[in-house]
Amino acid sequence: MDFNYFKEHIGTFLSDKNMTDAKVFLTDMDGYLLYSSKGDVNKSLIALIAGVYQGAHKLYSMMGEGKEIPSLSLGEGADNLFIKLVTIKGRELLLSSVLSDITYPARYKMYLKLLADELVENYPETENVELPKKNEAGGFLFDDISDEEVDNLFQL
Amino acid sequence: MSFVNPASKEINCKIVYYGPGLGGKTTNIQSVYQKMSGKADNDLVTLSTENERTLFFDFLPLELGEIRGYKTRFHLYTVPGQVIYEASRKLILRGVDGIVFVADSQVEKMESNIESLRDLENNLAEQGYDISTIPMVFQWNKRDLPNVMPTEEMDMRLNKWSCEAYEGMAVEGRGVFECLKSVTKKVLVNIKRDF
Repeated sequence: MDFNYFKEHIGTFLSDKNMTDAKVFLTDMDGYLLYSSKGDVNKSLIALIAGVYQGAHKLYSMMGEGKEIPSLSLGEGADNLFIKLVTIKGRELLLSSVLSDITYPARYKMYLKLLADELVENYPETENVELPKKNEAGGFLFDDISDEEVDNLFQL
Repeated sequence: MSFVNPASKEINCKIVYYGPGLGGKTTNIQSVYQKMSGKADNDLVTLSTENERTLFFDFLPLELGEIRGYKTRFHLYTVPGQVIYEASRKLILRGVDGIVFVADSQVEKMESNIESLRDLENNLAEQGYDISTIPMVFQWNKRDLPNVMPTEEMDMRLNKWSCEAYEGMAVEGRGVFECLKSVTKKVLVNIKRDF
């Protein structure tokens, strides 16, 4: 995926809508972070967002509706967790936001839905992604990785 | 599937601890957390029942550092082992890169091991994975108990794919890191083929 596109587009959108204080995350279904409006973010939170959405979606499906839930909203009033499904080039992503003490949560959610639509519509046909060279590091990534290198990863 | 961010040179991989209920999956991940707290990206997340059985999953993000210029992050998950949580297990297996199968070594638990392994095989197949090709290691856990099955017999009855297997006493941390390092290496090697 084009990480720069997400960074630029979401950043601009939040700025235009005067939502620069918003906690907005874009993740994939496995809980990997593609964008965070707040820089470093709690990885456990991201895994839980993906888990909550997938659990709710499965629950909905098993109860007989068999459809995808386009968005999920937990909470009431000023404090909410909002998760919106975004499908870009066949890949399902989750645009989520933690709403804490928000005065107009409905308007906030509407903007997030608008942002989701824009992310899909404006996604570049050709991704501006620089792929690592195949022969980098003497092979194809880790083809000759040693036990010692793996051990080093676990050194404290 | 492992997630590679070429721009920031980050690699994220998902390892799932699978096995029968009360086999020691959560104990494994807790042991990793205790010893690797310096590298744990965040706290261990445990979604468990009131009597401390896993309800949805345990989750531990590990930031292991760099390897050949790539930052490596491993997300460790356990599945709930009880049979009734099949739907949850399927969800957690999505996007898996490597599996640690934690088998209970007690003789009377062999049927549960076999049932769980069959469940794993079916759930992987549903998602288009072939269990014979996915990076996997076995842990023969609870070797400290008196009524354990010989490891040779466990290997013969469970390990049809000749995966690496380690004896374990997860409560004391024995075998935990051997399994994790082994599956980590297999996952990293596997990335090169897919990337």
